[in-house]
Amino acid sequence: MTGTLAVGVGSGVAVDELERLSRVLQSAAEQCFEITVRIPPLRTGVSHGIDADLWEIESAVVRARDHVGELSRALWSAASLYESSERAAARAGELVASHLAATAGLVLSRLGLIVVPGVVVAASRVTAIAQLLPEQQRELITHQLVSALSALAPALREPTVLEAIRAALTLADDAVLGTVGVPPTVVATLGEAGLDVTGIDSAALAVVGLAALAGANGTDPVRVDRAGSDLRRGGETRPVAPPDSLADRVARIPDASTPIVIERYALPDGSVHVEVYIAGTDAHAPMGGEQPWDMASNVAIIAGVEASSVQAVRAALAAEGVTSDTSVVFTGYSQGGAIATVLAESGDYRTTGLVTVGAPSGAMPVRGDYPAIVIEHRDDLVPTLSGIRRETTAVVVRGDAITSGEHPEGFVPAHDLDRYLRTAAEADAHDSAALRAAIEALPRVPQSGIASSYTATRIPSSPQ
Amino acid sequence: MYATSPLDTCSPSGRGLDPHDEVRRQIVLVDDLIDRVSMVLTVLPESGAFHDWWGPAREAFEQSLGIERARLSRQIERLDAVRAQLERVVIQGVGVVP
Repeated sequence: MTGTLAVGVGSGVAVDELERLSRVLQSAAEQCFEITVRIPPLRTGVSHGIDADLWEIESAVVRARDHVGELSRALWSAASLYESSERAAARAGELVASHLAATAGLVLSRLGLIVVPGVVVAASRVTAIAQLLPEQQRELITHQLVSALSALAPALREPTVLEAIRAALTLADDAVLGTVGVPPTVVATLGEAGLDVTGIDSAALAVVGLAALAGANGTDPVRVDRAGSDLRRGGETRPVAPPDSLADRVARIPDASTPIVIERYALPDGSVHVEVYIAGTDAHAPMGGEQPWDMASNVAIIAGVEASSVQAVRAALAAEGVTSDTSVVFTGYSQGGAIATVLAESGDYRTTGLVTVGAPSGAMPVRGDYPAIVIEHRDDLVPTLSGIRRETTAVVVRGDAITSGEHPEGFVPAHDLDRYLRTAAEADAHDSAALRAAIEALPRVPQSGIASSYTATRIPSSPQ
Repeated sequence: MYATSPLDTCSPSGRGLDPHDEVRRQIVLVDDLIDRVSMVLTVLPESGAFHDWWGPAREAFEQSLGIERARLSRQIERLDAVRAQLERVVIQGVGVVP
């Protein structure tokens, strides 16, 4: 069982909810006005008692009209203020943090020049002493170190710790720039809160570059094949009913062995609607190997370059005859959610919906004119890995995957797709107006379609 | 131009009508007013209906809205009282109303 869901548009207060409420109050004020103009004809002078009552009712309704109208205007102003102050506060906070991170990097690098030789000597002595210990004792020490690291796992499910990691990752590039001697004020100006020249994507780009040098290229080309036993006919297709809820969409997300599922539906007007479901990272895939759904692709996506997995989905869509005019809803989990966001926002497709669960897509703005729903667990490490959430028009649904009494297995249990499936079902039943509107705005298809699954294989250009 | 519907807002108050019919017409108008005020009450959100907004501003807003809801609820009670008086006039026959 999960905790209470919090729903918002963007990263803070649901501003569109306030605006909707403001319109409701404006309409109520107009209805009060209608009432006030209907009262005077009732005062006939026949009964002074009735006329006096009607006077009082009229003036009370006039007051209610004025006050409700004022509340409506105040709410509208509050919504605008929330929007601008949220942006300003986030930007100001990031500027200060960026400055501090760069200063810390600068100080630590200077300290490092003094401390590193000592640390190297100490480390070599520890290694030498460890080699002298009997093997049994070495194994015991190793076991204790692993236990100590496992003890950290519950901390990585704490929402406050995860938010700190999110902020720290956003500031990582600033600290690196500080370390190499760039003045903190210049770092703050260049960072996400300033000119946005550097950011988590530039830090990730540096990792992509280093990984490529090490032979693990997350941007190598890929080959996709339709899955199924009838390979002579180019794989198999199967009939499929259209999705009817968020949970239904999340349940259709495949595993990484066939990471792409594409459903084609014929619409009454003869056009085609496509639903794409994209898998999450294969945790066992070697970095830069044949499986494009690996960490190398993950880092490449966050760096903003065309990852192998993104290329694979593009290729599968092309194989299904999807053009820039085809209506497409993208649904993805984890890395699949990040791919879905990249493709939905690419401008290469007529995106009609976006649903992501547990995706490291915070640094990817969502600005398109389509319903977008982002589901995250507060205790999931993965969504924090892309740093602080940037501009988004998506409805963000946050829930808790793990209850306080629960002791789940694994390093990131809150990232399990099954847990996200439960949260998606809760979101389906949630009464937030913004969420309901987004769900209702997802395309509804009247008849069954055809589904195809695709495998993807990376063709490494660099020797392994 | 004035419309002839008894519910029309601007129709003159029953000149030329039988006094008995005039009171009945007024009861219909009062019923309409009660319906309209009730409708405004259903439109105004109740406290606790805001999931995506929090803080002192929301509390102040909910309080203000509560006051207006209470004000409008009282007007429904007053309109009910006016209606009751008019019905008594019909029952007792049109004459001097206290």
